[in-house]
Amino acid sequence: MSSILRRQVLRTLSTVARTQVQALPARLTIAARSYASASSPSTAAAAVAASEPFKSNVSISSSALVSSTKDLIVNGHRIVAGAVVSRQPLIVRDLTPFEQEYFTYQKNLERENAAAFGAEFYFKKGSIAERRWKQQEAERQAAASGIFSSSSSPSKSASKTPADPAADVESEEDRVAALETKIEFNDRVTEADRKNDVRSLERALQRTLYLIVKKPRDQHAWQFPQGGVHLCENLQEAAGRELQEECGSNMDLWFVGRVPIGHYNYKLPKDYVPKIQNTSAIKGTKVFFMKAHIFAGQVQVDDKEIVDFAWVTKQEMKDYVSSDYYEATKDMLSDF
Amino acid sequence: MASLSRSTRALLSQSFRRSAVATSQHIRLASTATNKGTANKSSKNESDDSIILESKQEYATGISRLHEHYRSTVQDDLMVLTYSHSFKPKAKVPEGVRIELKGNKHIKPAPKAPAPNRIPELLKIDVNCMMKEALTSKYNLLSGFMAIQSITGEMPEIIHSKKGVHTWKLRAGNPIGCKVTLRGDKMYQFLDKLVEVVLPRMKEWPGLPESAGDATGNIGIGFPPSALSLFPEIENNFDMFPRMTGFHVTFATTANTDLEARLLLSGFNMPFQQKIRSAPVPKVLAAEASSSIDAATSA
Repeated sequence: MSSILRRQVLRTLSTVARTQVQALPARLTIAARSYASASSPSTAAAAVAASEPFKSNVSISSSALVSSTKDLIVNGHRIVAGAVVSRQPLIVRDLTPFEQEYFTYQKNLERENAAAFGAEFYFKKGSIAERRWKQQEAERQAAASGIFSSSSSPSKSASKTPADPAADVESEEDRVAALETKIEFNDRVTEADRKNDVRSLERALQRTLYLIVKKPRDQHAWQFPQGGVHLCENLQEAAGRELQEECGSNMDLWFVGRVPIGHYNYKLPKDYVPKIQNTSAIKGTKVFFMKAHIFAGQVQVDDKEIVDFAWVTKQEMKDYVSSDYYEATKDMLSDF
Repeated sequence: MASLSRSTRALLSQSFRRSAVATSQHIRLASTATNKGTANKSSKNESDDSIILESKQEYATGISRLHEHYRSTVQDDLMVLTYSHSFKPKAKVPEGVRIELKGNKHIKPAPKAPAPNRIPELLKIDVNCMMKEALTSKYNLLSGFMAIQSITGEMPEIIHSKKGVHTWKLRAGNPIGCKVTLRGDKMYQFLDKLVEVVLPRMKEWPGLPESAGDATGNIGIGFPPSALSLFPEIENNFDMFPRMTGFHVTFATTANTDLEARLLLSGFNMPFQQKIRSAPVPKVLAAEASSSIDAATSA
């Protein structure tokens, strides 16, 4: 049994015990790591190294033949790699009122037509388990009878329960069992939602969140983390490097594949003063966006590269970024 | 065992509301088929006609967690992971035509270009078991029948042997196993249970092999009898089932290749074996290192 699987097993086991809100990110972590192993064998080693926290599946120095900080320019266009870092939904979405009604109706229909449960087979006669099951069954019957009042009358089931002499006896074991099996649900609306803390990863649990960062400038300040691709560097490596430079290394990331999910072309403004010499031939810039998921960690603001960041939904992003940028990137983002 | 079969028979013979009819029909099917044996084919067909059950109705009782996970995350990721910018269909093999076998291997169907409407999806999960003990007495099948019903939540279908094998004392028409086909919500619930509860507790199981799949995008797993007792439904009533049986689970997907099917299942947290490969060595280090390492990296 390989060590990676044992670790997966342990992590999966530990997630079972955890609460719902906490459990899902860890589960997703394993799911995505499994992707990594199946899709690109070369990144399997990176996945195996998962025990070291906060390492993405990109090894920055791995395939660069020559380490160069020179920008990659193709046909007069500067090539830039951006990272679309998303936090996937952590809980199942809310049902619409129509869905709720429909599912309740279907549930009751299913209950009416279901195979009868052989209680005599599963429970010993007169046992506590049998009594408990009978009580629960009566409750379920009463709950369902709102719709199918003709087939099962609530008064009948209600009168039946106290008539059962065994049900009156509330034993010590029953009370202990009730305490043990009590499940508390976490709130679906978190503290960050109430405070509208856009920096928190614990907000909008039902939605996909995307990382955008604010750069210290007046125009086009809010963007995805992005930066120029160096010579002899592929897009994924460049996106990983830029992300590390801008947002620090305190993030557990996984890049989805090695192909970009979208691109954005723009021409340089006329009053643009190139930082580097020898850029007179540059006509514009092409930005390629790479998809990544975050599983743990958080952005660290260094006040040099970026001054602020936010985890926002697609709809909220519209208020932050410029309209051109939003138009170019909106189709690769999830509406949900 | 005697106690089980007696209580089960009592259970089955009771007058249930609706589907108890189905159960007894199943059992009657088993008994008629066994009694008639191999010879009388026409009468067997008649008995088959007489027990045709009502088509099972599917109820949408809610949204399942894994299905939502597929829609929000896995689907999008698979689109990116399987994307091929320079896809050239092979002209030789016409699309959709599958040649059954060449030598001992399947010929892969012609791959299609990845497209948003062709993202692999889980179609159904088949759960089936074969019980050797049913050869001696058909009532031995009941334990497996009830167990499969418990873990899937659906009434299994009894499987009869098609052919008789004299050396195994198997006659054609004997009830020998049972199967369930899961779709929709129940399928995702079963997968959830399998991945979150059962597989993590299977001792010494190394995960699905890297080569899992039948070359057409379906993946199967065989489970030992010990795995059955790991299901929560069986675990709580372990004493009720005198015979633990092994069973097979097949995941049928719309994937064209095994790789896609494995990607899909790993998106649902299914463990896969990983060969531990050495990390790529940077060139600077490789130059400094000994020649043997250098040769290894270049190879």
